[in-house]
Amino acid sequence: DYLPPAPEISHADDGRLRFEADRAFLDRDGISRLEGNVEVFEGTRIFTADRFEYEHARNYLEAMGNVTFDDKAGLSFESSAGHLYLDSEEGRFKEVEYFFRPRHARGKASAIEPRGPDRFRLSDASYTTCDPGRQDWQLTASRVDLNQDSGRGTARNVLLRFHRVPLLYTPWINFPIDDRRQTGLLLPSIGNADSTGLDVEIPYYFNLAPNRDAILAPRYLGRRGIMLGSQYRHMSGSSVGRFDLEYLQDDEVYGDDRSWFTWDQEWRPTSRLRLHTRGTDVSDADYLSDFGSSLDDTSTTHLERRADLSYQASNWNLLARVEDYQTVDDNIVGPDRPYKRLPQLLYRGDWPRATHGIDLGMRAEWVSFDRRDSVTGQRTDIMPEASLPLQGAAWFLTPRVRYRLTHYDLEGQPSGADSQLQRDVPIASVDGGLFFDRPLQGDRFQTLEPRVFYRYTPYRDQDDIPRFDTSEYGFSFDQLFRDESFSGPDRVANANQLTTALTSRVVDASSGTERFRVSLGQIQYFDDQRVRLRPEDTPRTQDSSSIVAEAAWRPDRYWNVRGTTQWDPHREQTERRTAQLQYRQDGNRVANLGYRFQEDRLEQTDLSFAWPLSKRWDAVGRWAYSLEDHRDLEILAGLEYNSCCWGARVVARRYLTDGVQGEYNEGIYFQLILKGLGSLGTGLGELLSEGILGYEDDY
Amino acid sequence: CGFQLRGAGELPPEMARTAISGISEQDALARDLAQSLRANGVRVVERDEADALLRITRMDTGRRTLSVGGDARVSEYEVYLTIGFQVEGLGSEFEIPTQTLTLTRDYLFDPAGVLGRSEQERVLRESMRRDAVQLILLRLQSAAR
Repeated sequence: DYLPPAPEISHADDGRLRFEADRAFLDRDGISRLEGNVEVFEGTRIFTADRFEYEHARNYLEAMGNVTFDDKAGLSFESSAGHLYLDSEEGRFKEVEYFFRPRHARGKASAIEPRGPDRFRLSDASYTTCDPGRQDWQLTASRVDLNQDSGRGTARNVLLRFHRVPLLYTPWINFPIDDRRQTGLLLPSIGNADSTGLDVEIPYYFNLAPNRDAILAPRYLGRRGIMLGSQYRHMSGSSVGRFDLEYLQDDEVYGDDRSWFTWDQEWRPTSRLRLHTRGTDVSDADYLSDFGSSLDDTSTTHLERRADLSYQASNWNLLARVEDYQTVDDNIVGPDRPYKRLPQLLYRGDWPRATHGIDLGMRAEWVSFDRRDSVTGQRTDIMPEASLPLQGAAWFLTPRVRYRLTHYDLEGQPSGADSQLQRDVPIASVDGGLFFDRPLQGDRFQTLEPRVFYRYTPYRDQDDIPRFDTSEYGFSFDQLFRDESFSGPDRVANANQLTTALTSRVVDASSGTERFRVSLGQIQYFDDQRVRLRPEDTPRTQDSSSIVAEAAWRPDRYWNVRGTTQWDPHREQTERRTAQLQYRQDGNRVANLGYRFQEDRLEQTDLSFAWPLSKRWDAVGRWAYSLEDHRDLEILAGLEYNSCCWGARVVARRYLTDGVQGEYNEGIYFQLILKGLGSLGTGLGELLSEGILGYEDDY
Repeated sequence: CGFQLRGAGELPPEMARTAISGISEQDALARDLAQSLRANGVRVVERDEADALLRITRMDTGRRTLSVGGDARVSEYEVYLTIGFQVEGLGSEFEIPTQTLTLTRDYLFDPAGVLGRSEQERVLRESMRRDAVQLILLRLQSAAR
């Protein structure tokens, strides 16, 4: 560290002034003269100089030759000469070179004027956080006011030079001088992309109160106009919330106003009662593909908006919810769009070990569904359940019975169909498993965990029941042990089936860490599955399901390998296959390789990494490629440079925005980070964390 | 081939009376943990009666886009659960330092079945939670070896 060490102040801060000097001359007018290696201690400050004069009557100190000053707050400076009124703490020192430890900052000034407690004014000053001898970047200002009490600085006529090249001028700037959250300019970013043209964003942070802040971010989009982004966050004892708004008036390409609004607001008046609302609204379906910053944004098809009021008692909870989705994909139309829940009332109760070791449960729901040009209605669903979990160290057995009663009161049914429908159905299952262990060499042991699951549900004709919120669970290892095939009450699958599965793990005995795991399972069907999601779906008649296998391996703390496969023995066809390989040493040294295959839907590879090239240079990249469609999904390449006082990032991206037209958005983004000037990160770091699994933004 | 039925009572004796902290008693993870501890012969008690404190130091859960189809739309989501936990003896030197577990599950997104998604995520979180409880138990048992 180049900064001079903080002075050690051994004297008590008792308001007295102490002098140490080779020679001292005391005048009868009350003027003391001190010469030779003079040190003056006053409170938490130390002065040194070749020569001092001290005037007792005015409590006035004058210093001459090789003056130095240090204070406890971390400011120190050297000056040729100066004076200070110790009572008012006002004075002036000229030809100053200063250091400010809390910001790792330094600079020069023609004069520094103490202006009362914790306040300083600098004239013709420079400021940088670079080491001495380096001027990678430097601010110069005609006047700088520092307030250590508020933690703020303001400067006038400011010119920012980067490698001596003037980069930015501002007549006035307000900046932080310590690590407190401060109102001020954040890191601007600059880019150029197909969808936006030149893209410059300058965020400004407002620290409104200890529990409230806001960001205002004007963004210039060369092809479209000026967008205003804003964010507001607040927090108090019982509530916390956040609002984000982006607004672009009269988009020159789109020909209309564009906007994006998202909110998340939670209120907990008591520990049991909670009101939570959150959602996102965009002006049009193209908004996210035009302005989204990542493939995550642009691939979104639905935006949820909802408000929940919930009450949590010790054994039950009640939820009242209104919910609606905005569909932001114009290819999803009519009956494929989701219903609104206006409202939904949901009760869940659990009474573990209620009687004779039996767990009792209750689920009840009343919901009113609404959608334009559709069958609408109210649904009442009641489902009591009882289970008897039996468990020992080496086994478990859980029989469970449920009874589901569902009533519909419908409007808009086709003529001839009933507007009142009712279905009741019992559901029974038994889940059981055993645990075996054996020791392995090298302080490890292996487990063997066979598990069986039997499920029975009688058949009920449900073809007349509309589908409000029900879809089929994806097939997976978890699904082998679930007593439902559908994710909502509109369908209850008939079932008479037995799952057999086996899991084996290798575990480090000393830490309990799982090194290796493999699982294998399959369902035997004793009856055909006649209940279908849609009347046009074909019933399932095979006597067994696909075989599901999962494996995970952690050979050491850096490597992580996972894979799954799902194979249909009847067609001798793989339905699903995934593989994921990760090496992660830390947030800047990570590499991922992924492969995913889903029959008739997708086959893709995803390679991503962040890796240091040298002490100062880092490379980041991602390449997601669809083997199914033979096209790139996203390509991202970036370089980061990191020196002691500044950093820079350049990231180029190309990603698919429209699969039907095969359209891509291409862009290049640049960000300069002058350490000590900005205190928060911006979009680029976020973009990299989303694209590269395990990457952590440093800034 | 050397496999034997798992023995009982393998949790550290220092945890004979354990309190769970860091999450609400009503949280499903707290309930599942308590049930598994009891099945292993541990009494789950209030803090002032406890010999050891099992503290959940971190619990994060969320969702991210796992894959995007050739149509530039989401095709799979991943839900994740990260749990940090530690055990400290109350009035003893016993300690299991903080450990972190991350579990993930993924599911195929059906753009025509959005309302089923929250239910799908709920059951996946439930299954991750059950796995997490089992992995926590394995680590607690290893402390007794």
